Amino acid sequence: MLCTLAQLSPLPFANWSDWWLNVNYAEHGKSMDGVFYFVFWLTTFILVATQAVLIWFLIKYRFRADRKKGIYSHGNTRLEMTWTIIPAIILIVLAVWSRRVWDNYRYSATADDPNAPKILVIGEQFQWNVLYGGPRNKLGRYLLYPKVTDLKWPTVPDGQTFNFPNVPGPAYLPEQQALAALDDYISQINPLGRDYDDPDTNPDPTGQDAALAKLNDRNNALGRVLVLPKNRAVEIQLGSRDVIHDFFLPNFRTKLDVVPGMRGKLYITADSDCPGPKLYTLVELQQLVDRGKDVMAIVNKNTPGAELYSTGRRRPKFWRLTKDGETFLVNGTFITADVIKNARAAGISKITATMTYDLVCEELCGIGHSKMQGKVIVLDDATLKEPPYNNYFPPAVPASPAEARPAVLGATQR
Amino acid sequence: MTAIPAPAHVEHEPAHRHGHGHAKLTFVQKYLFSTDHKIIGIEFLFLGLAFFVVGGLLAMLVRWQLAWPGRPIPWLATYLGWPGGSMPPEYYNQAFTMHATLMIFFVIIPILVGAFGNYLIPLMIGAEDMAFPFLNGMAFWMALPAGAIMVAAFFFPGGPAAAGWTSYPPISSTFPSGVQYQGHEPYVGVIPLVPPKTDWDKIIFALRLKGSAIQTVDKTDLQATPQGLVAPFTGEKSQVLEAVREALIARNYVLIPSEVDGIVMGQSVAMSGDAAAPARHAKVTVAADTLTILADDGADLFDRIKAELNWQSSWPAISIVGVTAALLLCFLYICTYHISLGFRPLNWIVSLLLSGGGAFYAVKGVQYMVFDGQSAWFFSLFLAGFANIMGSINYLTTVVKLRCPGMTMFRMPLSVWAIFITSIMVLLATPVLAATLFMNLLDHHRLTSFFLPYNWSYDKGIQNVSGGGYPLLHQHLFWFYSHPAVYIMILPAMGMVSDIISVNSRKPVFGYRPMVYATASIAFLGFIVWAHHMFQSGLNPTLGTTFAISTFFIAVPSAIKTFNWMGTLWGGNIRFNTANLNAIAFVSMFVVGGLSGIYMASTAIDVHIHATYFIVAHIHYVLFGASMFGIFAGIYHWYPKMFGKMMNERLGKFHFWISFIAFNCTFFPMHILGIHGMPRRVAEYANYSSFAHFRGINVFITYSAFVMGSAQLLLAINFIGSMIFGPRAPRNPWDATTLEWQTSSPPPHGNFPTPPVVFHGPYEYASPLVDEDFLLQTRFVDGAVAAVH
Repeated sequence: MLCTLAQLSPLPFANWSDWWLNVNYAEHGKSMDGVFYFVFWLTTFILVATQAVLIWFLIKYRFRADRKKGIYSHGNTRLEMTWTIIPAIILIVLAVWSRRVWDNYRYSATADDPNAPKILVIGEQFQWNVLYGGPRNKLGRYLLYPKVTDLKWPTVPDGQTFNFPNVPGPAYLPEQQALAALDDYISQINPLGRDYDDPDTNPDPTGQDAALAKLNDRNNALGRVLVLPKNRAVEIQLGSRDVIHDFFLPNFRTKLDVVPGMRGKLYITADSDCPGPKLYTLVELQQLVDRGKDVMAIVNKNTPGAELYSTGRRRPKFWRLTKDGETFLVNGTFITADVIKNARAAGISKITATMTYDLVCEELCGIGHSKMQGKVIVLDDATLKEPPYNNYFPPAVPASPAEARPAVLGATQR
Repeated sequence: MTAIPAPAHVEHEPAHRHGHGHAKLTFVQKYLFSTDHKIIGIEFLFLGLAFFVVGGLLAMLVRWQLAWPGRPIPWLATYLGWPGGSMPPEYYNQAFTMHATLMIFFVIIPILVGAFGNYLIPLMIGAEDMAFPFLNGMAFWMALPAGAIMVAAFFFPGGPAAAGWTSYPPISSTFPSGVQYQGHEPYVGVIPLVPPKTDWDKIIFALRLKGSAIQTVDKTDLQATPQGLVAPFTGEKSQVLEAVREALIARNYVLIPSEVDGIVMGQSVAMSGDAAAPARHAKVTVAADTLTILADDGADLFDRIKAELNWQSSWPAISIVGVTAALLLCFLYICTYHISLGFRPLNWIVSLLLSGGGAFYAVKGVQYMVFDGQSAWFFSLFLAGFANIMGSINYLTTVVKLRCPGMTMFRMPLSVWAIFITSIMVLLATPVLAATLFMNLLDHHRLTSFFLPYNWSYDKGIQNVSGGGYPLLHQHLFWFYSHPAVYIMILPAMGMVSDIISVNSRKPVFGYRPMVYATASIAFLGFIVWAHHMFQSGLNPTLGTTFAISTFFIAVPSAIKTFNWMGTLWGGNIRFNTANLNAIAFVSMFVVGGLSGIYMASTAIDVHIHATYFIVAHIHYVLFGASMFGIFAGIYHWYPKMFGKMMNERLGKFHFWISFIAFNCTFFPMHILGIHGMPRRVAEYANYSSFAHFRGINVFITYSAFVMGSAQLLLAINFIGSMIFGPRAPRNPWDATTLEWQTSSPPPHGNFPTPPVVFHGPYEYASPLVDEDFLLQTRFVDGAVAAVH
């Protein structure tokens, strides 16, 4: 029944999803849409019926001088009981149904899966930071900031320099000086409050992979596109550096406030219908761009026509699409009309790209609130094996029941 | 049914109820500082309508920005000095915050509860005035400074509050991080790390902590030398040194004993122990009779204290004048009734002196508490809450104690019932709001951290309060008030609409008692649904389910009421005058708003539509479509009674139809925006590729909103014009049965020339007992008692 309801959009014209519920790509979202459509048709029916009856009454019982008096009635208890009990029954059904759908979303089975990739999203004014668990699937401790009352200075990571005043800790300084020193430390070294004493925050403990070591660097994390693996449940943890933000993925039926001092947890599985990276023809891309969609180029060794770019030993290597030796498309570029024009000029007819979805901040977070947007992409396994995404998630391990964690809160709720 | 009071009992109540001498009242007591519930009600009405204009204009600004972001607003942009003429995002945040705040706390609640509650309760229950007339007036004269403080914030540097009408911390309890705005001081960070200004400030600050030392240094003798600041001192050198030492220790300087000795030895001391940062050293040198200090800490705190103790503070003159005037009126009101020295000019002089002094010091106190827009917001609503509580106590007492003979509880009109139940809600909920606001105000002053957790940091400043608070606590407390407040804002309108529909359908209300019980159960359930505003806030999901279920249940009494209104229309002889059109619009729009509420009551659907334009559509369908049309209906219906003049029906109908159509064009499309996930409170939604194509529909909404806003001019013209040119209103222009129509229009002081006696329920229309189609509550007819069940 749910599927049939979900297909009953009231807007049958082309691109209706631009004017209606965003297309859903989350597995838990299907049942939500089911409730939505049930309520939609129910309320539409009640709305039309009530307004029709109201207007009918208004016409039928409009003032007429020959009708000397209205009907003298103080009510009808049986009738009133009817219109009390029927809504009550409908609402109880709705409440029970909503609860099942809600628990499926918030008490997801993913919570019991120790191999679910972990992603930490930290909101700050007015950017999203995205941190990944890496191959070891460990995030470590973040959002721990030093205070003026600390007896010791915070740890400065290896390879970085920061000179604290020559006392053992901020508590030994006058408040203003301690604040100034710590403020410098936080803004220059450690904006996300990473606990450098926690080995779990280092995704590369062996120190062999320079790219991996920089996985969760501030510069990498800030404004980074949130990558979701296709068809694999992930655990998203939410933290805020300053004020309350709200993590909203319209296409994944996911929303949770990002509250300072609290760690939110969400579990998402991007379903297999979600269009991942694929070869788009330039005509298709042009149509998407015309509709205002953001499409992101995916360039790796599987991409037709891509070549490995490297000049000298010290320069990074990356895959690119070229025209006359000049790079015009690298991984992560957003497709614009210019890119399409260049590609056409270079004789390229197809580009590997992926649709991006909005990450919206829905809670007023200050002056730059409307700038606080992020992007989400969904990648398939093949793309996730290639740089730069190869470090993001642990390899998929088929979970055996013996390894499963003891039941958490959610298990008893279902 | 309780026993019907016998007429004999009535005669027991002699006419000496009018014996307290209206003749003694002065003009001021009669019309300005009146304790007459009718005057106070009309004052509340004017207050509400004035704020309706301000709030409405703010909404127009918001709509302008959403339709044409960045386009300069003619005239206003140059007047406000916006960079490039376009609205800065912080101004947008301020505009929608203040729009919501003014509309909720200074338009709908004052008009519904303050104006109609005041005006109707005594008239409808046959009382001559409120139970506590002075307290009643106090409620209004307290609401006035509250409004003045809220408006004063518009002129503050940095502007009024910009954290949304919900003012969730930490965004409300800390300062927004810094963007230079309009040439004012940057409105920065948690800690403004500003360099100290003058050296004299540093010295004074260092020494003022030890009061005795201040006298030893005189400002006029201060000399700036290359070594630092040099001041001669008088008195014992050891005393001065001890004072300086203690003052520095009190400022958290780390002094090891040898360094203290260093001071005594007259040597310079590195206070921080950090040789690499000489600029941050405090140097204290003492010669035989000269003290030399170069201190660098505390100046910032000193500046703050100085700024807050300053008479002018950060307040511009217009804010000071406005708030002082409002407070002066408030104190004058008290003095009018409590200063009686037997000689009128003397009364006036003493009153003015006392009120002037009171207002002066009150403004100083307010300035100390209110140093920016957000603190003005907290403090203003804190005061407004007091006014609400005073009013509600009054209403409750009046309804319980002052009903006229024969007026049993179940013979009261539904308006009175609704306001009675609303008053209970106000009384129970508002103290919670007051506590919340005060805690948040303290957090905002950086004195406490009730709502500020550990471990957060701004870009240009770090946490300098202890932390350990809980941001969700504020949401719980705030919604514990504000959800009942939603019903405070609609129940009185429901009651009024029940009356108006019944009068104009010429038919009794369908199911009078179920209507009362439904109102009461909405009020009760209204207290246990608050967390449905917090489903996505990080609340425990199971708790969310609990609140979802209670929220679903609140739809049941709402449905009962809706069907009963339709039942009232059924079989009537419906007159389509302006009041009734507005009342029917209330019912129709309440259905839309109620049904859209079911979406967000469901935790599952709320995931997608929470904080989107769907919510905006819903709240406006309920608060404008229902409450505001209810208010319009009430104005059109009771205007003849209030002002003794009839309003112009034709103009009224124009106003209604334009408002009604434009209202639906404005808010119905917002449902679709919300279903597509467009976030509210966003100045530029086109940043998101998902919502960029909504430009056209937003332009349409804005045009509709402009039409709707302009239509209110018709109401203003009708309202003011009818007062001057309107025909005289008869005693009972609508052929209504209730008591307020059985006295002259407008009613005299004391309301009823002779105390009324009631024999029937309030809705005896189309009664078979009499020839007319209405049976007055006061008219005694054989058999009528049996007819009332």
